[in-house]
Amino acid sequence: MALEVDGRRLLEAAHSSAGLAGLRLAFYMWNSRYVRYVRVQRRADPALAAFLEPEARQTEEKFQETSVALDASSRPAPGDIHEIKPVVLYVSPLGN
Amino acid sequence: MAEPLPDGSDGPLATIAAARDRLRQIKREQGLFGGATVWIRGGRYRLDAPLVFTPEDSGTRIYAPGSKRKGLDHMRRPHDPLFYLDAGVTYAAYGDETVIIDGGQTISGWRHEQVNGCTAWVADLPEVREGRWTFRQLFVNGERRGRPRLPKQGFFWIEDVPGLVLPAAWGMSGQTAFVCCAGDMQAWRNIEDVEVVVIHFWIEERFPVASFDPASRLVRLGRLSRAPLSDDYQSRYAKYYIENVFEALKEPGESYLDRPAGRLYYLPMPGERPDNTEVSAPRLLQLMVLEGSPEEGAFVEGLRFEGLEFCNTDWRHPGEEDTPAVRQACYAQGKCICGANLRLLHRLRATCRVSSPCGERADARWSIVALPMAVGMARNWARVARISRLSATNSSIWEPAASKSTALIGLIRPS
Repeated sequence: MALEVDGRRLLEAAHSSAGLAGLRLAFYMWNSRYVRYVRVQRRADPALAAFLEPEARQTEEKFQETSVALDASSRPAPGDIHEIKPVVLYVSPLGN
Repeated sequence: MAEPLPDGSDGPLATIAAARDRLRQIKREQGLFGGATVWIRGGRYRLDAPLVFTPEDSGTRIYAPGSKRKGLDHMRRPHDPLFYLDAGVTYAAYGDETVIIDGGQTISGWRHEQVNGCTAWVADLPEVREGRWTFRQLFVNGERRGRPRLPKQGFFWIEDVPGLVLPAAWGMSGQTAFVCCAGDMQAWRNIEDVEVVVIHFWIEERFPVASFDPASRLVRLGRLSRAPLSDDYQSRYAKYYIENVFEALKEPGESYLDRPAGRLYYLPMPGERPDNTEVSAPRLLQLMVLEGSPEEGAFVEGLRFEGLEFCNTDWRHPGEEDTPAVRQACYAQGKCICGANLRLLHRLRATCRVSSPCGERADARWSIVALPMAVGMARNWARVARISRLSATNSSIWEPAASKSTALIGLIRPS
């Protein structure tokens, strides 16, 4: 199981029990920048598949299909970190 | 977008309230982690209701220990502003442009009539006649105009106060009636709108006239006086003047609002003509209100107001319309800018101009400047950059104990 943030692999679990109850991945960041996408990768594990109920396995597979990772075309290049932009509005007597 | 597109499809927002609402929407949907600036283009923004800012309009606090005080994380405290990044919301005048937040309405449709031997401008105001609008003062080309008073100079003296034994002292009970000297008062038009202004001790008290009996010269007041109607600690009764007398409307610059008839009278100053004079009557008492909800732990914070000018508001005497009663040497009113239950953290700032707080004639002028500060704002920073048309020798500060609607007031009175 691994955690990837903006294309950079931050954490990787090497345990064979990956995906079973007990293992957690977490990350925390200061809010001075923002993250384009987070991708959680789970290694295909026959032990896990055997452990899960069919309904739960469907959920797992569905999760893999609709993970939080963006489309390849939307992904920023590694290291392409953008600063948070302030919101700017204008008000005018001639406004809409 | 600073300029509107020619086809009107996009451009700046038309009102500050619309910008506030847009920021609320952005904050709900995606957050305001980078802060926000609302640039307000020059011009006059007339309000039909005060601009209200609630905790929802606060800037976003971003906790970032170590970002500004490296190596001292072990000393950090939960609300230390040095550990929060600046993601505030600023409402500011664009460039050097003049932004006027206006609580008044321009009076037009003048006609000329002869009043008390003078040529007056007269305008009909149906809303006043219907009881939906009233005001105490006018602003003519940006300057305050007062109401007619008697005597024109100096004061009248009370002849007798039933039940009051002289000498009196502060702390004794007040009165609701007095006897005036012969000729000082008459059964004038709209006598209930006439005000008696008593100057004694260190306070100014204003009373509506409940009734006047020409035979006994007994003046019944609309409220109990805060202090005995004596001339301070002297063995004589108090001095006073009378204001808002239609029959005294005789000097240029004076105005009178005939509420039952819904008619405004104004005696123009030399050189003033309807085509070169802008007359504004206040419609609002407050222009901007900042109100938190401390019982819910929600405060207004992280807001800045820069370079704005506030003008054309009205005022009410303490005791009217749920305002607090007269206090010692201080009128406590939620005025032009009002804030309550705002937060610490140096996060509410104002650099604005307040040009029309309450005030009276030049010879007895009380002016109130309300700064956006209130309970729990000891560490905020508020500054009125320019205060115009006020003169001052004294100021006082009043902090309500737990009020949600009243602000810190600086009271300024000329010598």
